[in-house]
Amino acid sequence: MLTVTGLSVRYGPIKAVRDVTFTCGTGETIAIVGPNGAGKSSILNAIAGALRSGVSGEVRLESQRVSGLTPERTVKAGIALVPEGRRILSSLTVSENLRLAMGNRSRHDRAGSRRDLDEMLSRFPVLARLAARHAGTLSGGEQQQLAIARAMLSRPRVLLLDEPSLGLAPVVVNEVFNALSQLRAREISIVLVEQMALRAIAFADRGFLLRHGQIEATTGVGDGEQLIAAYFNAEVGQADVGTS
Amino acid sequence: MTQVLQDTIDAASLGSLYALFALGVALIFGVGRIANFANGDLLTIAGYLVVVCATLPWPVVILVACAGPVVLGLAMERFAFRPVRIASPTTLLIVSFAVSALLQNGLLLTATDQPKTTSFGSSLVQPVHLGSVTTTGIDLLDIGVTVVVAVVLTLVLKRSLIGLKLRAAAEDFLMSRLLGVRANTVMATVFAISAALAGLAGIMLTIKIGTLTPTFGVQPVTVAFVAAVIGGLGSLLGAALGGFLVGALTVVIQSVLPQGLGPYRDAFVFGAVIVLLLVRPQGLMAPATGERI
Amino acid sequence: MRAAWPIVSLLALVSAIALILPGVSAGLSGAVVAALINLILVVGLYVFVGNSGVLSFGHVTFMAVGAYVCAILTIPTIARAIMIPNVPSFVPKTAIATIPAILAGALLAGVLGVIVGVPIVRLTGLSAGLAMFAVLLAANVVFSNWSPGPGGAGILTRVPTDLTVAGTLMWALLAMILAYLFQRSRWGLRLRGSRDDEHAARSLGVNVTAQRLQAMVLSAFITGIGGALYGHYVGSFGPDAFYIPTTFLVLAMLVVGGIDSLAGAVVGTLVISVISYALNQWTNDLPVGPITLKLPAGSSQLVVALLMLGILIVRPAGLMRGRETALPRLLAGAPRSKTRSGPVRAR
Repeated sequence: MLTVTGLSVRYGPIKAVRDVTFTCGTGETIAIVGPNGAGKSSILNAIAGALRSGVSGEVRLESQRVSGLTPERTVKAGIALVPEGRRILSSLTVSENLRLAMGNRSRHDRAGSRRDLDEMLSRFPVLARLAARHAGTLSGGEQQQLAIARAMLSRPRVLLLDEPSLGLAPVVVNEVFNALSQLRAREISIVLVEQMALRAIAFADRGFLLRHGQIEATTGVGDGEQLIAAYFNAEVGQADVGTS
Repeated sequence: MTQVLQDTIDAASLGSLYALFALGVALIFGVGRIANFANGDLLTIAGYLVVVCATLPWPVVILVACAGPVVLGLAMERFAFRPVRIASPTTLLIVSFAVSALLQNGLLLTATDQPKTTSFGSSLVQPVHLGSVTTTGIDLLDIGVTVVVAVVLTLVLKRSLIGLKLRAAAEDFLMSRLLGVRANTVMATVFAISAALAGLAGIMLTIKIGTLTPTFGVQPVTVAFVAAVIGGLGSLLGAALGGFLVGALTVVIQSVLPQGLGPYRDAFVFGAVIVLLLVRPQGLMAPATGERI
Repeated sequence: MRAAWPIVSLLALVSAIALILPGVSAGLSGAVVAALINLILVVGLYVFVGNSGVLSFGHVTFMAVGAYVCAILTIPTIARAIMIPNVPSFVPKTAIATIPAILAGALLAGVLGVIVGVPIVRLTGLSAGLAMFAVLLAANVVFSNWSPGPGGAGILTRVPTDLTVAGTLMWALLAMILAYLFQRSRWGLRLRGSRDDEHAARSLGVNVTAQRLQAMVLSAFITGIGGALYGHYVGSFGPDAFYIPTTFLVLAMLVVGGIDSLAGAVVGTLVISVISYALNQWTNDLPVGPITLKLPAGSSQLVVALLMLGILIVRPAGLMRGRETALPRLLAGAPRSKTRSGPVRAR
């Protein structure tokens, strides 16, 4: 269970996130939607430890405090980030990208590592096919799958996804969300940030709308319409509806 | 023909020495985005360690002269660079210059600026005849050591786990950390490797030249920077090639300069490099087209 | 008033200190002149580094050019045959007055700024800074191997030591005014604007290369003035005066005060000059006021290095944090509303 309490993020004088509090239970998927500049990415980056300063508030995974940890320690604690734009290491091959994520496992766990890798490759068969290719040559959808597989190989209890549909064609987005739904069965908490509000809310168990760094509306389980209404009421005709 | 062969060996050996050292400098830059002036001083310190230990058996001398810089390199990473790791590139550059000034001053205080000489490795400075070409043992050693180091480094980078982590960190440090790569481990590793290379280069240069002052390493580190700039900042291969190029340029310029202008050789070499940069500011390895935003 | 305050306040501050201190103790005149020369050098470096964001490690080369040219022109006529027999024949046989000689030195430094600048400003920031270091090295090689006279490699002596506090102060004030005018001019502003995002600036029609070259030339000119004055301060010098220790000192002064503002250059020079003076006195077993300390030789450089490292760790933007002196509240009149910064409102 991920508990975020009073999270605030500042970039110099600019407050990007103001006092955000939410939880994400084990095996639960929550969606954070909102317009550009709302602070969604900042929340994920702050949780993952990717921000060097300007973060206040508390993040806990079960009872362990993870706020203020370095990115390496945060991953070790069980929180993995699939960042916006995927940030694939393009000078490395696909298999090297995957190996890197397993880089901190002990040598004695070779069998376990092999198993995990095989499982990822079977979930994302396109990666098995492209294993020896330089990651920079992959298409957007393939890179997205690589990014997700990579994050999963650090054995996270919480998976943070920052705009996985960004820049991808609708068909490819389907593939990505299919892959994500397979992960849901594994008792992993997923925090999904998405511009495609409808899609995200349909996918998630719960969600909230973020605007100007603050939570404006939340939904309970299965009550996405209320959130959509809140989203669109303030942004008439301008939100990305995400029809698909 | 013999002269060409002779010059080629001279160029190759000087180029190797420069390339070896440039590799260390480029490694720290590629991974840590730090242009480390202090590397030159590590080279100088290796030389002074050779002078101090010259009477000991040579394997010990080599060990000490490499270990000393490594210890210092790790210390500077831990105490000077780690605290400013999140700082701007400008700050990093100034810190590196400050550390360099500190080391040079330290040397000045302990060893004074009187040149120190040593005859360590003097047997290697004796002429060696290969057919019609004359070279020295140290020149051949330069080439040999550099080739071995280049091969080993390539293998480590391409095949080992730590090499993978270094390559990942060089491309995207933050993303690597988000995948669990420990920043401290990576930085300590590159500083250690780079210091060891500086130590090797320092030993060989000391054998070759025989005289040391506290500013001994300034010219090599400038060459290393220039080599890295020519080769395209961030490219290890480019830096090595840049080192060879500067070495070759130095030999060529030395041979064509009239007698009286001999001492100005280095000025001409850097002048030539600046002209090269005028023609191709992005360096050798970067594509000729514009930079992708 | 608001626009002029930063420069006026700095001019006043520097003038006050420069004119009052020698009154306190005659022995301080030398130190004040030295500090003013340092100030000119730092301002010279600042004009390039502060506006372009490019760290140049070779600016002391311009100092050298200024020093050598001015010295050669001003070595007294009677001594010229002995002191500088090896200079080129176009150098006048009679000494010229100090002020034109200083300008000549600065001008030639500016010319070198153009020659060196043209290839270098086309490089990206870091490469440019490192390439300037290569220039420094090359210059040192040249000066170390050139014997203008009997003093040995690159050494000149019998340069008239005719500096006064007031005279040096005039040059320092001039340097500061030039620097301030540049940074407020449209060329300076364009250059600053291009610092953070070169591509964006270019796409707006800013010719970054040309702007940088302008800054480089002005910067070289001012640094040349400092060098020329330096020659007249010490009376004799060699190429070692224009190498790494000086480069470090000038950079330290700028960094401690803050790279991004003229006030930073002034404050940094002041702080380091005072500390350096005290340390040097103590190293030579001389008192500073009532205090005497025992310090080993070379302590001064060491302390400055540690100070610089300290500032970089604790306050990387320098003491002035990149800001100019602010108008005191009383004089500022009605307070302006604080600019509101907040998240970009998506509309």
